[in-house]
This record gives sequence, C-alpha cells and structure tokens, in this order.
Amino acid sequence: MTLKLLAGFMILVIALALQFWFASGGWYLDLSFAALITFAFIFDIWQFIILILVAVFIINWQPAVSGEILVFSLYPVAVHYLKYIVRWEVWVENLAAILIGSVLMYFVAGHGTIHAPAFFIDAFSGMLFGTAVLLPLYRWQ
Amino acid sequence: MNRKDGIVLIVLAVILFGLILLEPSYGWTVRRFLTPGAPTGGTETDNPTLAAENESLRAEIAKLTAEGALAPAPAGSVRAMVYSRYPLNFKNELLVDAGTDEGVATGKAVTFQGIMIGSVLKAFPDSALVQTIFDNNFRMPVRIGDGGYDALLAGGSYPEAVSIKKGASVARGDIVYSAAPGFPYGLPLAVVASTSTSPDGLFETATLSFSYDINEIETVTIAR
Repeated sequence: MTLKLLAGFMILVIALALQFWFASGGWYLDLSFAALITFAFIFDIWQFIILILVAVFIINWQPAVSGEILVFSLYPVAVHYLKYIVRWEVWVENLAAILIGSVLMYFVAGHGTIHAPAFFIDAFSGMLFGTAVLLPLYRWQ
Repeated sequence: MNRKDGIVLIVLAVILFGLILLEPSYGWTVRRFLTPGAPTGGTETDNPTLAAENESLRAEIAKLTAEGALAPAPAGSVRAMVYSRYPLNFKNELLVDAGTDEGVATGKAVTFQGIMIGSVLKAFPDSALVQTIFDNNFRMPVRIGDGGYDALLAGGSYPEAVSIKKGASVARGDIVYSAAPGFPYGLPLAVVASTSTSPDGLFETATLSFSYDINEIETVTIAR
C-alpha cells in the first residue's frame, strides 16, 4: 500500500510541477485534475482522499472557496463511486471521466461559457497524461 | 487495507485537512517551490503595492517630462472583483463582477493599482469580460520613457513594445504608458526590460517587465 500511495503522491507532485511550469509559459493545463480523476480508478477511498487533500493543499483554496476548487476536489470522488455503476473498459472510463471533468471545470470557471481553444488543449493534455498514469498504476492492483 | 493502515491514513487525512483550513500558507510555500521563477523572498515583487506605486510615480515623472503638463485624472471609475478561475487562470482574459448596471462599457480601460492591465471586451448587466494585455490580439499605441517615444504594444504571453523609431534612446527601466484614444492618457503599463532591433532592421523592439502577476489580481478599477 505504502509504495503505491507513494507512487501516486510522486505522480501528483510531478503533475502539479508540470502544471505550474506550463502556466509560467502561458499554457494552462490542468494535469493535477486529470491525475486525480485517474487515481479514482486506482486507489481505495482513503488513499484517494489523502491524494485529493494533498492536491488541494498545494493548489490552495484561498482567498475564498471557489466553484473550481469544489469541482477539483469533489468531482474525482464522484468518479470514484460512479466507476461501480458504469462498467466499460477502464481506459475508456478514464478518458470519458477526464473529458467530462474538463467540460465541468471550464463551465464552472467560465461562468457558463467555455473558452474553446484552451479547453481542447487542456482536455487533450489531461487525457494523455491520465492515460499515461493509468496504464502502469492500474496493473499494480 | 488492514486496520493499522486505515488508522494511519485517517490520521494523515485529518492532519492535511487541518493544514488546509488552518495553515494554508504552507501550501503556498510548497507551491512556490514547484513554480519556476516564483519569488522566494526579499524582492520588490513581494510587495506588489510598493512596486505598483513606484511604477505609477515613474510614469508620472515620464509623463510630466515628456508632455510638460499633468494629464487629467480619470473622471470616474468603478471597482470590481475578479472572479477566480483557478486552477485554469487564463492570462488573456478576466471576468469581473461589475457590468453595465454599474456603468461599465466596452472598450474602457481596466487598471490594477493604477497600472493599466487591459480593456473591457464585453460588458454584461452584472459582469464584464476584460481583455488583458497578455492576449495575443491586444494592440494599443503607447509611449515610452522621458522622451515619449511612440510604440505599439503587442499583447501576448510576453507582451512587447514594437515599431519603436530606430535610434530612440529607449533604455531598460523606462516606463511604458498609454497613449491610445479612448483610454486615459499616461496610464503606466510596464517597464522596459530590454531592447533589440526588429528582424527587418527598421525599428526597435522592447521586451517588458511587469510589477504584478496577472493571476494574483483580485480587484481592478474600470474607467467609466
């Protein structure tokens, strides 16, 4: 359990570091959100909550709790429970969950509008990153 | 998962939850560590108010030297909160909580602590979309430094002042201020970070530095 959780933690830190690094160059890729959604298919609920709390702690909710941070933290939990209802191939579920999560995040952040170019870049990079994370970790089960 | 692991995870979760609620500043420290180029302490950027005031004063000096007269202050303005878009943080646009009901109109200048950061792109009854100078499509005539040299501010992730007359004595640290019709004259925008000759060799180009982080802005002022 410890090794797998540690791997999840390292992946999350890498996702956040990449996200901040791209952001400093003007590219806003929400890789940590994609990583958390993917973790929903890999970790049990308590390990998963730890990883979500680490992400929220680093991303930070201040100065006030926003819709985005609620989506960021609660949507992956919803995915964690929805996976028991939807029974597709796990990689398809993961891609769909990241795509729907991106739509939801942009919809909340854009107050009902979606900034199309940024959305497609973000969703595509998220799905790519999520798949790259899912394949090795899922086999670890 | 055995009982011991479960207890460890629950304790960890409680500690993290406590940190998030009570000591979120530690999260900022971690985040700063992960963010390339983030200030770590002791620099001017740690105090954006002071840096912004400094920039405003330098703009005022440049304006007085170049024009010999004090430009009129904006007649009226409205203060607006910037809606959070974290963790998306588009640098090219901001959504603010003031709209046509408060007198906000399309094309008006938007400032942060006296520094112009963009203009109103669309105005709705209770909100407005601001196009910042970090938008690739943002263009506006500006003047630079004590000499008041004309230039065109070209927006983007790294905005530049382009089409500066060759031979103009523009130097690092010169203030760049607004000179476009429709905006208050002399609003500071940035300072010159470096200069170079344009690829066609006809003009000079200046890279710019900013005393604020557009993603950290929470309130703005919009001219009416």
